[in-house]
Amino acid sequence: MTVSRRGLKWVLCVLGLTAVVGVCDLSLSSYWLYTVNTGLLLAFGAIALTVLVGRVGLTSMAHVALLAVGGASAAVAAALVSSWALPFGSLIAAIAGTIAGAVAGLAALRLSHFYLALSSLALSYVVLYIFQRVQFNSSHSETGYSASASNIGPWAITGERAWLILLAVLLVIVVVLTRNVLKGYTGRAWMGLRDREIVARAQGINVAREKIIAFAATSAIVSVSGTLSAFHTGTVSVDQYDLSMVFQYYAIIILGGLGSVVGAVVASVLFSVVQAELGNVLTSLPTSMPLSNELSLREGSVIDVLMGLLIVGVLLFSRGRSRSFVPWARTKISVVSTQRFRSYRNAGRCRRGIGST
Amino acid sequence: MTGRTRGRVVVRVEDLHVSYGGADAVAGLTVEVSAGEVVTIVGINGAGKTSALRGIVGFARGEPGRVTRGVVSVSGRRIPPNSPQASVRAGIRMVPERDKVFSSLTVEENFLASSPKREGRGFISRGLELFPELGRRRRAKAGLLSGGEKQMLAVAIALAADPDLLLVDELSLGLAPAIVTRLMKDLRDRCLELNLALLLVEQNAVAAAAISDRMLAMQQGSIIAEEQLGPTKAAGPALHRLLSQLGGGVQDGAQLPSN
Repeated sequence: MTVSRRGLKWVLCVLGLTAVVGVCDLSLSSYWLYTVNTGLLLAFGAIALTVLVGRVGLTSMAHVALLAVGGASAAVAAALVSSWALPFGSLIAAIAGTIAGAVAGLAALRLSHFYLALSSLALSYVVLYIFQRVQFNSSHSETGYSASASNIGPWAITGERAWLILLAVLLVIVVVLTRNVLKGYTGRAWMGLRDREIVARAQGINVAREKIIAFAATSAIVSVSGTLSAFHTGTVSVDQYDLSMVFQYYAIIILGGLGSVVGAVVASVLFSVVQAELGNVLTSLPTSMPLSNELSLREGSVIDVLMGLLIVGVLLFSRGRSRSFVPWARTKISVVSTQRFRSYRNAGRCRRGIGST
Repeated sequence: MTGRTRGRVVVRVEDLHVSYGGADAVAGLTVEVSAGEVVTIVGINGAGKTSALRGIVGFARGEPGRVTRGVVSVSGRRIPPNSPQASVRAGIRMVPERDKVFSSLTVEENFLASSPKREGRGFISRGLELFPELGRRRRAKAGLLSGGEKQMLAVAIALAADPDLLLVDELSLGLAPAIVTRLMKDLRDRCLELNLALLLVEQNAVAAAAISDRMLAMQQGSIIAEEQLGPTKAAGPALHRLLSQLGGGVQDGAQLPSN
């Protein structure tokens, strides 16, 4: 029963993605494809963060620095090799991200919560400062580095459609791998040390190793997504990396449900689409409307305010432990119900005293 | 584990010192526990009982405490200090004080998270055999279990790992007296059945006395008295002697069975 359901779910996912790609190919403009691609690129970082925060119980504000590391890898790869720039850049980013993550993991052995967040933010400043010095002392200070040669061997990834397919495939791989890790021993160990570290230790879970693995793996994913973003944009420049971008990721994982991998993907795409759509609405308001000029001029800030309100709304009005609309939506679509959700449902039954099975 | 013969010394703790940076919380604990034997350490708050158990398991890097001196050996083999993993590998399991389960995981997932890597389902069924009541709640979140069920789950997990030595910190904490009596009896039965060494730390000296073979009184980090608790008749006076050493600070000290 469970197995067939799981199989069905994956078949549906793959079919859905194919359908999405097909539909996009026929009818959607490259603007929409660009918006979806931006969302998919966000999804990598969101998966990493939702695992780190929701499953392992750690925090990190280092996403932007890791994206910058990925961007730098893209620039290096584009300068060194032309035909394999994308995979080569991703490889460098993965290695650099793993090392950076492992170092951050060492810090996480002694720090937690707020202090961990602050120290990772401080480390991000250091990374971005170095990046800035290097760029400004080079011949690329104005224009940034080029990362336009996004080739995988003989295939050139050009145009939003090619990117959509590439990103969708990579994302499916990351989602499947992540979910497998979460379902296995490592995932349970992570949740164990999130719940209570002393118990985890008493049961022989190597807390230090698990924390370092968690940081290294998630950082590698974020760095690689930084490389992909850089090739997608075509240029790498330090001013693309604003430390406040990390809050976007936090917003996404709250919308998607902490710890939910599929939720993170759905929320990332929704986030990107809603943001783009809000921008469209704000700039095309009828001039007769009061404040229309003000709203369209300050489009960016207005979007931030609206997204902020959305998150506050989700936190205030979502009921139960799920605290998000994605797990809630799952209760309505029982076909895609997951193990995680089933335990929510059981929890609800237990609270209502119906019995647990 | 096969080859555990009753009465053979399983664990030997010699001159254990635990420090949290300042004065020693445990200053020279020496104790031996044999297979099939139940030993309880009693003492008032802050006597160093919990630190003693934590010290036997060892502190991981990053934790505030440290084992500064002393040797713990299991079946004659010395285990490195300050390495919880090495202790678990050597066959020591601990049920810690208070929140002893992973509350956001289900009962089953709690078993799986604590099982050795390659051993999944077998570990669950072994644990559920020991405490069949848990079987009904196997898909419930551990955080939603009652206090007694949580305690049962923690003990079941520890026992399913088939340790040589089981350390239990305050089994009675926050539980109704009737449940404490039952859990204690269950625990003793399982330990005799599996022939493992059990070291308890308790404030509820009376409840613990009912299942203990030997009782140690701890004060300011050292053992100040030891009594052999024989059959029920002799246990009363022995317990009384022991608790009078502690000056009556132990919980339930007033309700000593009048012999």
